Amino acid sequence: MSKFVKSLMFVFFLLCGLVLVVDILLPKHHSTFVWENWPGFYGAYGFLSYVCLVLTAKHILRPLTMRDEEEGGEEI
Amino acid sequence: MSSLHPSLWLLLGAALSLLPKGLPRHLLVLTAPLLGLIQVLSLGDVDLAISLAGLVDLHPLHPTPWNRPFAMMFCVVAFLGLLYARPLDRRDEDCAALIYASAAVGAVLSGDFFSFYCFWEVLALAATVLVLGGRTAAARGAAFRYLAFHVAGGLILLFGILWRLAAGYENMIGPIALDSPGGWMIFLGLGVNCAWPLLHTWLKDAYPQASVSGILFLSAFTTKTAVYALLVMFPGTKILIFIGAVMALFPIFYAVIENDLRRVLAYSMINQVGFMVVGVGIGTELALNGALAHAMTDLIFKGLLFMAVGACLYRTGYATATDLGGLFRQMPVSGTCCLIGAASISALPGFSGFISKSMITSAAGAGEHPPIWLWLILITASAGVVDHAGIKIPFFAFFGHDGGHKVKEVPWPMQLAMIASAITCIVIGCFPFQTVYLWLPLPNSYVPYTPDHILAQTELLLFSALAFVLMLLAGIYPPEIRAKNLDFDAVLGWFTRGIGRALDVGLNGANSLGDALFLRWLPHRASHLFSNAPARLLSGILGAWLSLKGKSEDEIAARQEYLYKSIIRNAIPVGASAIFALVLLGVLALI
Repeated sequence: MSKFVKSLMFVFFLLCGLVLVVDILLPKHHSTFVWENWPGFYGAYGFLSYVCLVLTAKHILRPLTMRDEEEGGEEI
Repeated sequence: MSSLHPSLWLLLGAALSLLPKGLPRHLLVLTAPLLGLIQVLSLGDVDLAISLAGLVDLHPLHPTPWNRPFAMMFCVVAFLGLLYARPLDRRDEDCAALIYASAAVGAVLSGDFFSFYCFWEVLALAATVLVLGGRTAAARGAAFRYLAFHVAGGLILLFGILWRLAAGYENMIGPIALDSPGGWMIFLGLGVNCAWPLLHTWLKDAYPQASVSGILFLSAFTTKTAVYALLVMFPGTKILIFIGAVMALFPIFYAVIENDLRRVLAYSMINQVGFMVVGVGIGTELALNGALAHAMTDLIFKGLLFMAVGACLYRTGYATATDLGGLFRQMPVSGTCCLIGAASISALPGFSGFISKSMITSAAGAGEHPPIWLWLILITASAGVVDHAGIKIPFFAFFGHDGGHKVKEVPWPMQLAMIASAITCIVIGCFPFQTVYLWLPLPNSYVPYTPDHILAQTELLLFSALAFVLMLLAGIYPPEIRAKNLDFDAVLGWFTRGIGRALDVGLNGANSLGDALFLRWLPHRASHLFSNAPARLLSGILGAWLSLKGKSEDEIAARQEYLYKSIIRNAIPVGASAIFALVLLGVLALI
């Protein structure tokens, strides 16, 4: 990993931390659901839903649907 | 001029696009959508009515606050697409694209169902030509399947329109209740073009087969025309909430494992249209405004992403994640524009998607008892968009591993089209009230930029991206693989092949049976009967007569055999044969 990419990732992690701190400190208004007021709710939900999405696609969808590009000799 | 149909400018452009190649042709092709745009903007409260042989009144030009924004954006997208397509310099594709744009503008500006249907069918035909523009065997197959899908959908739509007219409903376009078969048929016909779940396979099948520029037009007109139609015909139809939610959710799973980046974007289209369909289904002012606003922003940012991937395809010959990568240094303009498109579709604050998608999400969470499941699905789908369009497209095309391509940036018209689209995304994102919100048909008091909202969306996107980074570093993120992924078209293929086999066995079997029965066995037996019957009949009569005379059995048998052979060998005189034939006919007649 190059130095540039490392510094870029450092900035990214810092940004994530900063947003989380602001979320904890900022008083909430206009929330539709109660859990929207929980500190870090959107971060946690985004992270977990993303992980679930990728793991589901990798371990369930891909084994079920993946075929060789030339299999069957016909486009589908 | 105020009652001149804007589609005519685009049609004129289509005709002029067939002129010999050269600068004048380029200028004329680019001028047509601009004139169309000016015409749309200058339309007053006109209602062009044409009586069709006194049977039905057509209203091919009936501008309303609902259709003006669509017609306007269609002209803008047509211009950007044609600008991008200049280096390809293909007359057939320019012509098809302008006819396609003309039909889309015509369809949304139609005031009655018949006019709408006519433009709708032209849409399907022009789009088929654009798919064929891929000029590969796969494109031909996909074009055929595309046409089959849309002809079927068009017929269902037509039957629905006719059913309603026969039942005494008006021909003018307006809200339709799902209380009659006609209403359901129109609903289903629109669903085909809208790429509803299980009806969506044509989109991910056909679009990636089109040319570098053809896909820009395909991505713009068909689905957005259908969204417009749903907006004006089925606002607040609750079943659309479920359909849209499924549309928003299922493509994001496919997009994770898909290797072809243009197919990833095709799935992304279904996902974004899903948000619009949910908005139509919710049916509140905010939701309907949101669906229209999201259609407008999607037209630009989705086109921009297709342009960026098309730029890679144009230069390297590849649009697959396994074959691309590391192109940012060589194609910085395309890469930067791709990042802006990715930020827009991900609804990052400051970019166009944020000001439109958030309207739908907010509408889903509004009211006293908003459906929690819907809100969670939309949030999940938003996180999913970060994966396939926000990260996967730019990362695997312009960053990630080095694909080993030594290329230069795309020609300047392509760059210009991408830069103009990218700037539009930023301007809309930063100034929604001066741009998209100006065109909303219903009263709008929605303010997208509140601290809560900005923070929530930024946090959602950042932590989704964080999950991607950590999974990539940990080696958990699924590697890109050269493969195809079965979708519902596998079931459709199995079904149609099953029908084909059934028809093969049924019809060809019946044909073989008929051949064996009527062309072989029956003529053979008839020939045998008519050649032997006189001989057998006469030898029988002879036997009876001889036995009456008391002859022995051996003598009777010998005389009978002699007579039989004589008849078979034609050794009987003609006169005698005629008499026997008459006797036989007489016997047959008596029978």
